[in-house]
Amino acid sequence: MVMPRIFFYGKIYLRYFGQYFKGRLAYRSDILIQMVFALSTQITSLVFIVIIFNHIPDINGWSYGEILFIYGFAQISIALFSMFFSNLIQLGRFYILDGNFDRVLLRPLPPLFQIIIERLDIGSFSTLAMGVGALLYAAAKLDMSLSAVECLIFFGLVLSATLIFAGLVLILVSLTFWIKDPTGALAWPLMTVREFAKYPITIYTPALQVFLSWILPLAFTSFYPATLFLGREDYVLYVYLTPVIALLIWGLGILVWNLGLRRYESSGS
Amino acid sequence: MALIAVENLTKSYKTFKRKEGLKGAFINLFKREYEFVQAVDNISFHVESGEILGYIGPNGAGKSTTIKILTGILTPTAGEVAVNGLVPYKRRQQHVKNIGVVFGQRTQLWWDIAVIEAFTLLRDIYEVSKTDFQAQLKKFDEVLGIGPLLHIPVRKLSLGQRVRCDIAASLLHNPPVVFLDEPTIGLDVAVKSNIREFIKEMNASLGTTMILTTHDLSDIEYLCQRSLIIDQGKIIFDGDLQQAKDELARQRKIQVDLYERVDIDSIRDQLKVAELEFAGQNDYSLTISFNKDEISAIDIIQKILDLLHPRDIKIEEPTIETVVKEIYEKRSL
Repeated sequence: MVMPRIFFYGKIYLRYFGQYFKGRLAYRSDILIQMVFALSTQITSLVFIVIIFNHIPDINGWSYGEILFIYGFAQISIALFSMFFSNLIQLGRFYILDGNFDRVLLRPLPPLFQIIIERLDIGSFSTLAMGVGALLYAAAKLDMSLSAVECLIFFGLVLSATLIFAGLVLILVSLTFWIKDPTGALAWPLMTVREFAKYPITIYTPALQVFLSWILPLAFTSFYPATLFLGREDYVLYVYLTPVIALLIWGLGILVWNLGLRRYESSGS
Repeated sequence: MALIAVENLTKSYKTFKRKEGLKGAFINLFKREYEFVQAVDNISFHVESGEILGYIGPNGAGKSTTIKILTGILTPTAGEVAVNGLVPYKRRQQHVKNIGVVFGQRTQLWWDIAVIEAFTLLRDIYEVSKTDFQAQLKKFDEVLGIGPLLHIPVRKLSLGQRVRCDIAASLLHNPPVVFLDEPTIGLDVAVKSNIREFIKEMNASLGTTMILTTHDLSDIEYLCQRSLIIDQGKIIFDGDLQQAKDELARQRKIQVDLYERVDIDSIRDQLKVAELEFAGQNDYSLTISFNKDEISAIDIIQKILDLLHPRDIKIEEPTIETVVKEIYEKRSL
């Protein structure tokens, strides 16, 4: 029974995916504008980084290549989050306040699954491309070569990082069941703080390091897992912790979500 | 056992009193007085398989809340609910496979994709086989005429087209119970009657049980043998509105058109009925209101024929609107 169910959800996921693209492609110019805009934003920030690091070849013992590698890793996990989970941010306004959550509850699918699959963020494709570009460039600069197993580990860590980010967003947006949040303000702190996680956290004060590791553990979405490939021995424990934290946070997110769901009172009308 | 059983259902919301104006809005930010509103107050009713139940009541009476509990969207504060043997809010996912829901005011389809795409997506979600799906589509096209709409994106449909598609979508998986929440709101007469036909047809051919909420009492008149009226969270009527119409509305009217002008006072004296008045702008017609328990229409007509030489006589029956109005008024006394 369990396996067929997984296939069923997989099939539904792909069907939604396809329909979403068809829906989006109906607005041809919109999609084009979005792509161009996102790409130009990404290129600007990449140019910015390249310029900065060409002037400062070394920060706090981290070389240009290493920093770029961490940066690329962070961008990839952010991009994957945005692509596949960013619709979670719509929970407060679009789903709960505008009453679309009722529609979700009328379908024989788990509500969280439906919200995640109802919208994908295609614009994040450019973030992903840029992250991959930065990563490959950094790898070349560092003369890095990965074995097949290391590649698998890399994908596992990227997945964990994405899940950590998605889990944190899930926890925060689930609070909407208790606190009305028309602007999605609950997830803002995360969007701001994640900028810090794009760089080696040793450059920050100890307090901020603790915060990024144990309060909002965004360092696990970039810095810690990336160090494995930079040959830094000091953080191996953190690397192993990354998937554990991913499961813990996603699990906690599901828990808060389920508690909130029980509390849901639809918007009336 | 009844297909839908509702026992002592209560739902209360916690709300706060909103103060007016910008100043009030600021005060609300820091200090709120909460109060509990009983949206549904200890109601019980059963619906048998194959029934079309009309569910009516003024805005804010608790209709939507009841429907939302029955469809599994809301959890009740107290009481028991079972639909098809399942408790909706406890086994939501299994429950919603057994029901179809139409909200006339908002679509359940995806805005940007073509109708047929939405239907096939629903087919996959509800795990309807391809042959059943084709058969359903054919049937829906016959009665609802949705064939030409299938390749249009939902957002480009007119209201009437959209509601027809929404109704078809809710029935694709052939559910035993269907909830129709104001399905005819804002529709023109032709579409309205088309939808009524379809509802009647589905009920007759498949035995689908339906709960219909509406403000259009002609929907009820045409479709429902039994209706519930809810007001301020309580059920104030449960039965056949046609029958209630006969029982409740005692005031009837007879309109008499005449060839010549008559003296109203002399007729009033001779008829000896409660009220007699001229209707319209001219003096060539008069309307007699009477209580059918006190005097029969036949008696009045006979007397009129003795006294006058009328051109035409019309008896006006009370409408279902007046009956419902009377039920509301009786309650507020």
